[in-house]
Amino acid sequence: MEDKLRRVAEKFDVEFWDFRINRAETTNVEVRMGEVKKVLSGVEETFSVRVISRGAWGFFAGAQPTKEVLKEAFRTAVRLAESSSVHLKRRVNLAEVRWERAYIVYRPKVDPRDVDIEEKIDIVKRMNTAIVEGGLIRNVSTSYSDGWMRTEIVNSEGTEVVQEIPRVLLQANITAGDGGRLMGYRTRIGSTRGFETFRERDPESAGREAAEIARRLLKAGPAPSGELPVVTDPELTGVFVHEAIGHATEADTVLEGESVLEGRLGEMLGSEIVTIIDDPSIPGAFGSFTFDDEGVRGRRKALIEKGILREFIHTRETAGMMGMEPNGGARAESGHVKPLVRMSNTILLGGEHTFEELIEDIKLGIYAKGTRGGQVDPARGTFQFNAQEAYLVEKGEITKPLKDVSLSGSILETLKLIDALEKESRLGSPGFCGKGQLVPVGDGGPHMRIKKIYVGGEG
Amino acid sequence: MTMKERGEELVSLCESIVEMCRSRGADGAEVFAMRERMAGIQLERDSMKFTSVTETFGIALRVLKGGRMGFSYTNRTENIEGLIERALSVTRHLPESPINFASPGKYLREDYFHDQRIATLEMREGFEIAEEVISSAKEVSEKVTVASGGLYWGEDLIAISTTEGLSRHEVSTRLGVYLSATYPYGSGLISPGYDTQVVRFLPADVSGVGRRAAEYAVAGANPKPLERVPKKVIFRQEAIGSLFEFLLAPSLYGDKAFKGDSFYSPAGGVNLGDQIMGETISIYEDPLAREGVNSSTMDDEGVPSGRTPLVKAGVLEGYLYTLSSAAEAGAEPTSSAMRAERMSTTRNYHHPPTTIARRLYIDSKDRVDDPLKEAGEAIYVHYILGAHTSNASSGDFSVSSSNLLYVKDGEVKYPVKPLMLAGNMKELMKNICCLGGKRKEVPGSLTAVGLSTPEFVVEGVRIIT
Repeated sequence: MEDKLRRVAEKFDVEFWDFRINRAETTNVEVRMGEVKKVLSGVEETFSVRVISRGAWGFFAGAQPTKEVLKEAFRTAVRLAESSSVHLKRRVNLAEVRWERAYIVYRPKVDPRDVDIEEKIDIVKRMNTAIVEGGLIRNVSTSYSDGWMRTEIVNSEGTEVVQEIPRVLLQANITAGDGGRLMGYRTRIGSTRGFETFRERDPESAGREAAEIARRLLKAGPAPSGELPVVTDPELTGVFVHEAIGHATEADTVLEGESVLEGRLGEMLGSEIVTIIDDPSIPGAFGSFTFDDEGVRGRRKALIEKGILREFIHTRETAGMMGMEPNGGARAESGHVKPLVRMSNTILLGGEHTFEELIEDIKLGIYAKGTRGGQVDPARGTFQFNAQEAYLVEKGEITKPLKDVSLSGSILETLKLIDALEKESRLGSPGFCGKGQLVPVGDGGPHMRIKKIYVGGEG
Repeated sequence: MTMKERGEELVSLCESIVEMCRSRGADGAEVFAMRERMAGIQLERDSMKFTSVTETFGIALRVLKGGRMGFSYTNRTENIEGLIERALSVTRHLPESPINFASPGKYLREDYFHDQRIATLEMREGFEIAEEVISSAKEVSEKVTVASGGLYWGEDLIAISTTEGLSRHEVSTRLGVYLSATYPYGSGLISPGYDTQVVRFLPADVSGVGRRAAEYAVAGANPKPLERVPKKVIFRQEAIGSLFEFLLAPSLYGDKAFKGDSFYSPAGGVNLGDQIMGETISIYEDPLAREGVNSSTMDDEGVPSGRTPLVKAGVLEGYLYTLSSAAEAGAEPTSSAMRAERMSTTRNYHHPPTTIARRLYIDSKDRVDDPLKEAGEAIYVHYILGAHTSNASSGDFSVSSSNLLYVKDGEVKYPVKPLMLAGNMKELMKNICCLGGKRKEVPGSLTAVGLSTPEFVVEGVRIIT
């Protein structure tokens, strides 16, 4: 591919080009209330060509890159770049990086491609059965998916990188019901490893635990609303750092002038106990990779270190525009779309306390666990995220279960209100982040106490 | 090659795969193929930033063998044998499916949603539109910055062929404009405003998108804490649209109702024929409207598009169905199948058809020209954060909003600092005061749902300050 590509590319006089081709092999299984509903598999190959000519980008994406298609792809991309160059106010400036030559394969212990479909179906069925057997389950859909992604990146500077990453994911969406009352709960297990993931975390016991929580939620009462102290579990802490901090540190958002963190590098934004990293090198984590989708080696980034804003997440373009070092933050959903600034595994590091110490001083507050996701308005610096499970904390004791607790606040204010962290920081559930493109991400942290945050309950 | 020839070529490919399936022992087959070409221009800080052309091609196959259905997909035409083998090989693991693939029906013309002006729009014209969007935003205030946004346009071609004798294609066009404007205030603070429009035919109100985004940004500057909590909330079309996207629309999906996973189902204490909202409210699915963002002459299973009443004068009349969910529930399909991921706004051949509201049309007899005047005192909500985190089973939502205005005596008095709104969709639909006169086609914020809704004035939503 490289030779064919370079022969085509050398015919075009451009400042920069890169080519990315992505082959994805996927399998999905879905079981609903004990019955297999879906078994599917597919293969897809998508590619794209980016060029910089006359200081402007041109981009073409397609399928089946034959020599003729490649020529047309380059021709189109060059034409687009040249026609848009007269409309630009700022020329593209890519930060320099060393060329890379590498072939990286994340070899799982048990390659999901070698596992019989029967075994995949069996694991999904067993999880489904375990969830249903305790009763009060109106509907449960358990699904398994695996994907083997092979990405090849070649550019005009000599980079030739191939990266193969497997991902497995097992999840259950549960609806428990009692009378006319319905409550939903979701659980996920996943990694950038192989089928061994489900030997390390037993799907049946994970399913039973999730079903028990769903049933418990049926008895949950309304949460109080207003400003309250809140302790979040590692999963919800992860969503907080992803939504509230991670998105605002994406350098494209900063360059667009839509991040409340613009112009604040080096500023003390949070309490000294707050250190947040984005790290694609965590073995097995859902958002891990070695090279980003521009062929730049990904590295651990200290976004906030001891309360001080230290670094943004960059593509080569955003790094070049801001005069900073690229840090391997360019990711694309497939070969069919351009890489954007994205997070990988975003984590709040641990502190000095035990969980009990976090709770014991709270007169009236909330212990919030798990998540249905969240959203951020990085321009205004406000965020919202939702817990799946919550409990009232009264006089240092966890008491009643609460339903549908959501939390909202200001990024800058909340960072200063984090006043205690548990020692151990853990990864939460695997997830996907949407920004026009879905990419797999990880996040996590320790149990975290926020002195006060808006709680949107019913009471 | 003409548009018709390209359509026929894609149909011919689908037909040949159907025949190959038959010859390899399939009892039934359905082949869906899509070819799309979209051009795009992205904007950043009052300037062009990125131009693109994206061509998508893919094939999805469903086969029936022994009454069991297998699915596979590919985008490589040299891989058709593998596609068929994969789909057939998984059938034995599945239970018997009651589905019959679509037979030919009565359709509108295959280019009914096609505008040649969009299909042939050149990049040069795209730049002119982009300039118009930027200048219309700047006209509102010189201090406004077009932070990000852009436009995309192009042509979709889909084809479907089944062993039931259906073989047809459809070609359609779309043009979308989206914009985020910012307005500076105070010491380094910014107020954002967003607007978007998707059209199937020109002209598009592109300058309106720029102007409105800028106006919302300016209007939200210097927000104050809410001094007095009003009883009413006015949801702008996008704000109520995002709640409908994740709560109302899924509650009307037949498969969810059948499985007891909807608050408008017997499991949620509701039966067909029950009064579930005010007598003035009607809801139907209308995917044949020319302005609908997901309108088409057929759904993604080849079922002819048609209008489906869901709620008539507040009474629950029906649900939305695909071929398989209809067969499972003993109902008729309602042309509500789309091939899209759960959290993706676009069609994709990777996924089997699933129920999606393509154009949920919400109407009321009580519509007023000026909802602010009608409300008297209220909070006006431009956008919502976190609607996707709502509890779709129970209908409970607790969301945040940072683009708010305080309305008194029918006039905007001041922008309000971010706050939270909590409630329940079932209750919200019973507490509608009135609907605004101005309707908007709202594309899904994170999903492929399409909606047509006016502004909503409601009571009973808790405002948490």
